[in-house]
Amino acid sequence: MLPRLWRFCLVLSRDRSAADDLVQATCLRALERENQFQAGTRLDRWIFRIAQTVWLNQLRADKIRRGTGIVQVGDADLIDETGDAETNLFLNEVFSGVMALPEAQRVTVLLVYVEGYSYKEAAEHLEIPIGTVMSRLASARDRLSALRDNTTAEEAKRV
Amino acid sequence: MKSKEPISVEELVAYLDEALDPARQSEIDAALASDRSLAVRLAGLDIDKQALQAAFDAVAAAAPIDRLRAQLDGLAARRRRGSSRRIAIAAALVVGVALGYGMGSSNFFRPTESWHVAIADYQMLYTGATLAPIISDPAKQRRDVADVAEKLGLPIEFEALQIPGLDFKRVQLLSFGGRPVAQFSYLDPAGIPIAFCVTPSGDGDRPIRTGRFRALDAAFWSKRGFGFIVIGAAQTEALRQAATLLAEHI
Repeated sequence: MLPRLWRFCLVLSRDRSAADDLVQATCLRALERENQFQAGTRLDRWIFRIAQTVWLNQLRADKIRRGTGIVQVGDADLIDETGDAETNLFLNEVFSGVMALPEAQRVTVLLVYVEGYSYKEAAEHLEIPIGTVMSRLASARDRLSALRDNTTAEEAKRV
Repeated sequence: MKSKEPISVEELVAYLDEALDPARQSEIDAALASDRSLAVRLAGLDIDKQALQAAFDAVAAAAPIDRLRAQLDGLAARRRRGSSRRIAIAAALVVGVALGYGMGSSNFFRPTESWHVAIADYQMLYTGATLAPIISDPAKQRRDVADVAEKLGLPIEFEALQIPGLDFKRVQLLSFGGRPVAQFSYLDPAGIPIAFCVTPSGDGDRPIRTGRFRALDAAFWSKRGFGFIVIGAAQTEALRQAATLLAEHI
């Protein structure tokens, strides 16, 4: 579960070392609040919720105060260990595209399209109406599909 | 035919995500057949969800697991005297093992990539000399393969394990995260040990990819809930070829 928690924290913070910190703070909080975990519910989602809360209440403010709020990890070399170079390039573009989205959109994209939350589950996690989940996804899709079109156009030029 | 209600962008997104109720879904289907501008709007919202998933899988695979584990080990150790549930949560966070009843059917605890790393750690202890003394005995190998395949819960034929150029030496049953791991050991013509490992990872089908775990190159894939890896200090291309052959037959 750690890789997925770290990825979630990375999407929230857009910064690798902030993601490390957030993972640790989240785990600490999860242990402190273990009484609040309801048996029979999903532990992963409970912990994601905690990560989100810790981020909103604590670390995001710290990060912005430190003036590192605009660090981009999109072009970092995260995706370079598996697969062939061309695929990696493409996957990096996709990842960068998502990471370039505003926080509200990119976390919604992660929950729904990567973590498989339903709209309703995402709405509960984010404490927003389902309609807002849908409009965030619409805006995100709008930007991501424009990115895809640019990529296609560039590929066409190269040929 | 126009649909009865105007179609909002949110509904188009829900349509693409197959999250609408069936009646509205078919209304939009019908509208799309006749309304070109609607089709254009829809195309403008289309994204490659598979690529998205693949990109984020790769990011999870790149998580600094060792560093995080080290941090969390300390955290868990300080709280070791807590309740059993607390220990269970700490264990799930640190080790990534299943918690059993009451914690949902989440695959959160599944060590998605870490079994690859565990295999790599183990394989790095192998040298040519580990396997060279083993005299291949096809009859015994056949029995061992059948035995391990049964414990693994995946039918694997002895013949399917034969790879041109690689000398099949033995099969061992290992365990990782409470799950069986079958390890098939080979020597290549240069005397380099290569392992083919299988475990019930629960992952969805993924095609063969190549990558590096620790200092070893590997080709890995998943099929029908099982994870597979071919790993060794050999050329990636040779590993990929072996993987392709194995994936065809298993």
